[in-house]
Amino acid sequence: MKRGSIAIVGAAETTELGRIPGLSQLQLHADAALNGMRDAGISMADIDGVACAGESPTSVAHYLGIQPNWVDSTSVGGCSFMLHVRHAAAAINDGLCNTVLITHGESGRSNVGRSGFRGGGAATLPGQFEAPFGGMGPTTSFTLPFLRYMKETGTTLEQLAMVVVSQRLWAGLNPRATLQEPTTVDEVMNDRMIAYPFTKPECCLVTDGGGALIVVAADRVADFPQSPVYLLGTGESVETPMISQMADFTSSRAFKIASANAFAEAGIQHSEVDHVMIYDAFAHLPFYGLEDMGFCKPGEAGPYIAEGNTSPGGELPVNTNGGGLSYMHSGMYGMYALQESVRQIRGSAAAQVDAADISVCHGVGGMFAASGTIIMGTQETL
Amino acid sequence: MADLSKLSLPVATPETQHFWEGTQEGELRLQKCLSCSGTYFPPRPFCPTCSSQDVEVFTASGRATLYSYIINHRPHPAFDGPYSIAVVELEEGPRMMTNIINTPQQPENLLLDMPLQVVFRKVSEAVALPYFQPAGSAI
Repeated sequence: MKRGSIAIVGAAETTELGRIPGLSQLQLHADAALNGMRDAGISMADIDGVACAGESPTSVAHYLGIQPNWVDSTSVGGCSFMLHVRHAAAAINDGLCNTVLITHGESGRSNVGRSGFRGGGAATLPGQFEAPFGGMGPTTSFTLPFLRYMKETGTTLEQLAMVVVSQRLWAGLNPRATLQEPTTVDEVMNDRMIAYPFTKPECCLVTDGGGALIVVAADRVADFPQSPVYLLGTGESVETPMISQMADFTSSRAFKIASANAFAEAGIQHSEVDHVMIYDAFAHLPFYGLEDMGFCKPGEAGPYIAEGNTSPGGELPVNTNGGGLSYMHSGMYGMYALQESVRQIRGSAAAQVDAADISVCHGVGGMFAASGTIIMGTQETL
Repeated sequence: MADLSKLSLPVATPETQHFWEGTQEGELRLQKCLSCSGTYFPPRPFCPTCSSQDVEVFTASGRATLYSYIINHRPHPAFDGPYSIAVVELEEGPRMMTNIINTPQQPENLLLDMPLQVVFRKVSEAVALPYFQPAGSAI
């Protein structure tokens, strides 16, 4: 993608977040899509490209009454939406479509009409070589690399708890966050053990919600009412569907490839970045994100976060909506990270960062299985 | 009481048949590339390093070290109380998921890089799973 050639001109979440038992999963997509189109000042007839995960683009397009020229059903977990943005940029630049709607909706808490992203059967490789050992999904597999990371880097459990403490401070500034009360390292460490060494607050929330984005060519931004959010760089990769086969438990190969490509495309230095989102399904993910993207050297992310550098008032604001740990997490959280980056670049976030011109939004899919990075910027960064 | 029938049991495919037959016979079977000498897991009929299809199955030593783990505290009907889910590094190089058994399921007893030995347990008529225990334990 040519830097700055594509812009996000519509962005919205579902009207409510949290517990939404009154809406099916498909209607969560639609609620977000309607809000996104209202935000962009357009109607269904203006959309000619649809991308989504969790539901098929067939279901979403038909339900919304869209007749697309282009669809993308990339479904690699919670970062699928980062990949949709990247693929939409390529499709628009290639003339395949003009106005792309990307939707997410997930009845993660209430399970109303839920379909989509689920593991495979007993004859798949994960089914044969991981499932028999009693894994219970993300809590037991996403967390598995962390003791090795601790041993290799000297990172402590106090530093892990500080990720929760730091992000809760951001959530306290956000009226839509699920958990807003400040917490302490002691409280986090003494909470209920889920999968040693991870306690409950170090695992993401389980909520309902959705979000939508509208993506167009940058030469059309004057036709839309919102401040444009330009794409500066994009990247994606996948590594393995089995956590046991992740090549290095202290570093994600997919994180490195996705972010390196995004930074190269954007042509920026880390020192130019004003705001960062790192998909935090569990509290250790910001460590991997900061290190694999190059914001911190290996082993330095724990102390960096614990010293408050990513908290309100710190030099590198991270997960300013409160993150998956405190804001919301429906199952595929990447859409909400993208929404917060858009808000920060527009200057409309609840916990707005001063002079936020460049935001790096980094997602994970599966359990370190996939990754997508989107770097956004204001008009001034072009 | 742990109910082994609640385990999610593997269903072999043609490419993995040798592995699951091996566990039934008390052997941990890996594959080796005859072109680049790489040893790999999980099974497939070609080398993931050099793509050669000139590969062979061999029986591994069963020796390993503890690479990383968690202790799951959420109840699972096939396990009694908190239990470890671990990734071990085999002496031959590849890593695999397993449970560490025959030792208390506590961090003090589960030290990274500790030596381990494979032990097979029949969990159904047709399936034996490869578990690992501290090296030197009585089987």
